[in-house]
Order: sequence, then structure tokens, then C-alpha cells
Amino acid sequence: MALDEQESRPPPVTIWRDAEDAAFILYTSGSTGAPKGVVHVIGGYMVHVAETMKEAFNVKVGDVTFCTADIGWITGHSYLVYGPLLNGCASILYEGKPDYPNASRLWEICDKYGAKVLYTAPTVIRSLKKQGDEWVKKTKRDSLEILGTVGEPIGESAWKWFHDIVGEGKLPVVDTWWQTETGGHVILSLPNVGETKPGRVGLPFYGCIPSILDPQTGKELDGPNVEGLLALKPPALPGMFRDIYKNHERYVKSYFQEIDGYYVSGDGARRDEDGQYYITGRVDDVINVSGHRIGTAEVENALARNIFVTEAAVVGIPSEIKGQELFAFCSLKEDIQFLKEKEELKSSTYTPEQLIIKDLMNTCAKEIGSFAKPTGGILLLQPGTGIPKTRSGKLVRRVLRKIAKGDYLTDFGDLSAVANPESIQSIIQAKKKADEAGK
Amino acid sequence: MLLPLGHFATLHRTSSFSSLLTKRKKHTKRIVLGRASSSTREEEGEEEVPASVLGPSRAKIHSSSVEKETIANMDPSERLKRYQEIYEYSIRHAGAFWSERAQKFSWENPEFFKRNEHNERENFDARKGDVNIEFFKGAKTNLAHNCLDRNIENGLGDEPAIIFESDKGFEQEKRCETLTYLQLKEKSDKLANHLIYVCDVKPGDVVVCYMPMIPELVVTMMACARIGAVHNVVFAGYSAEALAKRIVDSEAKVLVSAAMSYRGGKAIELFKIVAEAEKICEMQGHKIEERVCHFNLPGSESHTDWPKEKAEIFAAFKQRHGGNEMSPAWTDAPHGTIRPYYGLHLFKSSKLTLTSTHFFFFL
Repeated sequence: MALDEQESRPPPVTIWRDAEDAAFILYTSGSTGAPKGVVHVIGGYMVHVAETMKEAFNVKVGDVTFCTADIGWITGHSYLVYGPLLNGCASILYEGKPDYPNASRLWEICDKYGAKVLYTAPTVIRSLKKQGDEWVKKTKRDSLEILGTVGEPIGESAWKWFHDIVGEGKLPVVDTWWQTETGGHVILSLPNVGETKPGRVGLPFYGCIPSILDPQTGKELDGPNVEGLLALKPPALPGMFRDIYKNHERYVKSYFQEIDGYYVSGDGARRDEDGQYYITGRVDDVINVSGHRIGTAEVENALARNIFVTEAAVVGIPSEIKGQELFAFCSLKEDIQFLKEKEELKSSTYTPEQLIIKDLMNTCAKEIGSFAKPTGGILLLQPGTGIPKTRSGKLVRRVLRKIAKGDYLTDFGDLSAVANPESIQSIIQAKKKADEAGK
Repeated sequence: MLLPLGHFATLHRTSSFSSLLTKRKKHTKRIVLGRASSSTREEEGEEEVPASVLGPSRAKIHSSSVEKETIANMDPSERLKRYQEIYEYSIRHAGAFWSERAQKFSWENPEFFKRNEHNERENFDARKGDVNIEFFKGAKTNLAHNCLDRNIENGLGDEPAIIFESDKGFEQEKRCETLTYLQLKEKSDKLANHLIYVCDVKPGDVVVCYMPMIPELVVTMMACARIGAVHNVVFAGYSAEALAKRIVDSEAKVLVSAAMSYRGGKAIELFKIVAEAEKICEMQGHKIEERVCHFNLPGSESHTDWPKEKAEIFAAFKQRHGGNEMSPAWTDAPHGTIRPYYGLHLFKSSKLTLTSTHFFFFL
């Protein structure tokens, strides 16, 4: 069939689908195994996204909104494409980077098109803040009415800069907490409802009940000033995901069976004395790098496929700009010495360690994407060192996290469940040696 | 610097943009759809409101009195109280609350909401049966219709829907373009036709989209929504392996992609990644049957239109190579040798089309 025939065809017939039929799939990282295909449905998602867009950003027909997220993530789906279009808004689609060609770009775009809403991520705010206030101050930003943030908890200093410098202290900052799985906003600071504080996400959106659960007992913690796992209990939000593509069992098991009767989000949270929520970060093996969810298992599997490596462990370490960065521990298959003896490498400007690290970085970029590179560092472990694990074979990440951060002296807590506690000291030695070599 | 027109006028920069803004005033009169009276699920026998719910307010709100205004437009001193009232109503009567809000959208069977049944149902507890969530089961709707047609019916046809700002920096001409609701609908309708008639996409089929931040991605999502296809957008920063994994897992037979991605002054050759992903899929026994590609190549005039010249290129290729198959070695095409051309083409991912791409890059 000739391709240009589409031109002369009448518009396709709109296919009316059941509200519960699938609208789209979006893959997201979990703490274990392969990425999950989160399934969203047409009707509920539509209503949820349109309503949250309208309430959170107070948009009406004809408003110009600017969401800086990539459409490849749920934020782009919900608040760059569907949310604005369902509300009759004009949505700005910006192809490039927020700091290219300079750090004024985002504000210039706001001015150029008269954006009323700017919805961006803490990692973007932090990186632009670092470049100085003058980039912001030379733009007008007078069309902006609401600033929004999403992706990870926004720290106090980034919040203040966003509020005071970008918003000149006049605009409400709408912080939002939600996930690929929830489809749209769940907890947010509705503009001017209650008092906003830096770092405080806010109140639940209509129609949902966030719960704080005790991580040990799974019991719900009532009242103010409690901290624990953030979960949702019925009623459901209409935009919530309905399934994991082709894997209903995994849907039930990984989200609803951890603590029966609740959707367990994987994030930790605190409820303060005003009944408002703070997000404390991931509680599982998922790392939030620049607002992208990266499953440690995914990166570990990628690293373990590299020919130099037998096994790998990946943890998150704090990062000023990205929020968190990946740090990898890799057990080598062979002593690094064998590479030093290779003739062709003797003339190389890189040491064998550097070559292996480069190769491992490439492996991550190739298997997953450049954003999954362990930019926080890779520690190569000589064969036989081992990585601390429990008797059931689970990596002891809390210990690895401390070592990655360079925190060797603190108490590592109860190590009775660790099958190979001697590995901890060897890893610390290796880390110290690497730190020194790094200097 | 106005680019190819036809009725897909490429509107440029602020001048035409502000003209759109002034035009808006004429159109903002909203035609209220004639559906509706509010539906309240009369539920007596109130459940206990959980302790975690804040606020002292116990006022019961009937849906008819639920504000149509967003809370941000209310008197500041009232906002928290109003929020609490609406919130409490929303969690006690979730089905009614969401049905009320759903009714402003277009449904094929709006009478569904008058019957008031099965608006909302969920089970989060696997011990009590299968975990599931259901809203408005039995009501029929379409996302593209609600995003586009409904707005066009309400007079927004000539209003901007997507305002595109390109990366600027690579050799490519800077492209700023506004797609109105009508233009977005027309473009997505054309692609939808292509997906139906050429790619044989049926309702419920998965279409993978591997594209950078360009308007064609929105066009693709709308086209899928229109015909009931399920889009699976894969972030264009993912590698070939990651893309292949997502294609195979979602059992997608159709892939929509772009040739390049521009970010921060750098150009990434997405077409290479796509070709590699396709090979990986094939090694795993999964064949992508149809491929659609947006040729946003560097060094050429920006132009977006769904396929037009494809047939010509195809014919030119055949003429030159007599339809001979060449090895699909396009992954190594140096982009410096590209014939200046910029357009949006659709092609079938048969061997022939791979070679046509090959031809295209080396011409």
C-alpha cells in the first residue's frame, strides 16, 4: 500500500474503549529483577491526571505550561502530554538540556512563551542554582504563577532558591509526590492550602489515604509525628496502575503483599504535627539518580555480565546535584596482575584498574543507558575478597552503603546474619587503598 | 524562514505565537457539553474515617455542592477548610467523587454515570481475593478524543497545543514550532491511518515509541490512543539492550522511532541504537514487523510532516539498485555524508527498507 495514501484517507474512526482497557505501558525499575511494565488504563488515568493538573497548577483553557521532564518518564506522560491537553492548555516541549547553551535557558523559554506553570525536578534546580543567581535574575519570569517540583525530595536549600530566587518569594512552590505506578499526583502542596515549608510535600490529593506503616511490624502508625513506610490504602486513586504487563503475580507480590491490604510505595515518609507529609527517600534497593529510578539489581546484573567481573553490588551514595549517585563494588575474576603483564597494555597511559573501570562504565551505558553509570565510583575487589551477604544470599547493603560513603568507623550494627563478615574488613582496606590512590 | 506549509503551517516564533494568543480570546467561550446532572451515590451508613485523615471537619458534602473551581481560586482563608471538606467527601464517596469529575469528559455512553454502578471498586488485600482496581468499568471513552476533538469542539482548534523549542546548537536549524489542536489532530490522524492500514495495528496492540523530545512523539501517542493501541514509550537515553528488553517484554510488533536525538549541542544517532535493538530482538526470536521513523537528520531544513516523499525515495532506490538487497550496514553510516533532507517518513521494516535507509544515508 502506498504510504502517501494516508493523506487522502478520511480521519480514522475513533475507537471507543472500555475505561478499564490499557492506555499505555511504561517500564520502571524495581528492587529486584527485570524492569516492570506498568500498565495504566484509559478512563481512570484520564480523570486523575486531568484533575490533578487542574488542581495542582490551577490551569485553565489557554494557559501555557512548561514541564521539563522527558516524555519517556511518567511525569512527561502525565503533565507534559495528557494533563495539559486534557485541560486545553498549551504545553511547551523542550528538546534539550536545561543548562544549554547556558543556565538561563529554562527561564528564557518561560519568558518567550509566557509560561504560567513551570514543573521541574530538584536535580535541575540544584544544578542551575550552582551556576549562580545572575542567570535567573537577568530574565523576567513575570508570566509564571506556579512553580512545581517532582522526582525526589527537594532539600531545603534548593527549595529556598527555587522559591526566593526563581519565584522571587511571590510564587507558590507545589511539591508533588507520586510514582510511575500511581499515574498522577498523590501527595502535594496544593497552591496556598495550608502553610508550605521547604521539604514538606504536603497533603494527600482528593480520594486517597496515605498511611505510614511500621517497617518492622507492618502496623499502621496513626496520628502526627510518625515515620515509616509510605503506603496507600483504599479507596484507590483512579490513575493507579492496574497491572504489571503479563505478570499479575508480580504486581500483587511486589506491591500489595509486602504488607497485606496496602499498596506499599517503596518510599519512606513522615507525617508532621499538621498532618502533612515529608518524604524521606527510598527504603528499598532502588536508587534515585537525578530523579530517575534505577534498580540496583539491574545495574548489578549488567556489571556481572562484564568479563572481568564475577559479582557486583551497587549502592547509592549522596550527591550534591544528582541527589544520589551509584557506587559499585565489583569482584574481579582474575587478579589484576595478569593485565599488568600484558605487553600491549604496558604502553597505555591508563593503569589496568582504570581500563577495567572504563570498561565497566561502558558496560552499564551499553546495557542500560549512560545515566546508569556508577559515577559515584567503582571499587575493584581482588578475587576471593567476597561481598558481604546474609546466609540467605542477600547483599548486606547497609554496610556497603557506609563503606561507599567512606564511613568506616561507625558501628555496622548487628552482623550476626552476615555469612562472610571477614569480607567487610577486606573491602574497607581496598576502599582505603583506592581512596589514597585517587588522591 | 517559513517552512513547508500546506495546511500544516509551521508557525514561527513569537510573532505567530502571539497572534495565536490574541486569537484565543475569540475562542475561549466554552461550549458546555450537554451531559450530566450530577450523580450522587447515596450512601448512608458512614464508614469510620481513618484517624490519619486530618481536620476536624465532618461536614458531609453532596456532590452537587462540590466546587467546580480549583481550590487555588478560592478565598485564601477558606482554602484549607474547603480542602478538608472536599477531601473528606472524596474518601467517603470515592466513586461518586470521581464520577462527578469524569463527566466533563467525552464518553461514548455518558448515561453510564447516571446508572451510578460500579464506578469504583478495589481490593488491596490478597487474602480476600484477587488484588484489583476498577474505575468506571463499562464506560467507554478515548484519550485522543478527549485531548483533541473535545477541545476542538469547544473552540480551541486554532489554539496552541504543543509549543516545540528545539535544542539549538547542532548544525541543525533551530526549530520552533507550534502545533495547534487541529494540527495535532490532523497529524496524529494520518499516523493513525498508517498504523491501521500499513502496520496492521489492532486495538490493544502494543506500539513501542523510542523517540527524543520532539512533537512527533506526542503525535504518536495521540495516534495510538485514537485507535486503541497501547503505547510503550521508551526513554531515548536507554541503550539498545534496554530498548530490546522492553520491546520483547511488551511483545511489540511495531516500533516508532526517530533518526536522531539532539541534546546539549550533541547529536545522538538513535537509528544505530534502533538497528542494534532490532538485531538483539531477532536473536531472541522476536521480530519487529513494522517500523516507522522520523527522519530528523542534521544539516537540513526542519520539516515535519507525515510521509509524503517516502514513495519517491523508495522508487529512487529501486531505480538505482534494481531492488537488490544490500546488507543492512546502515549502523555505520557516517552522518557527514547525508544528503540534505529532512522529513518524516514511514517505512516498512522489511529488508528492503533497511536497504533503503542505507541508501538514504550514503547517497
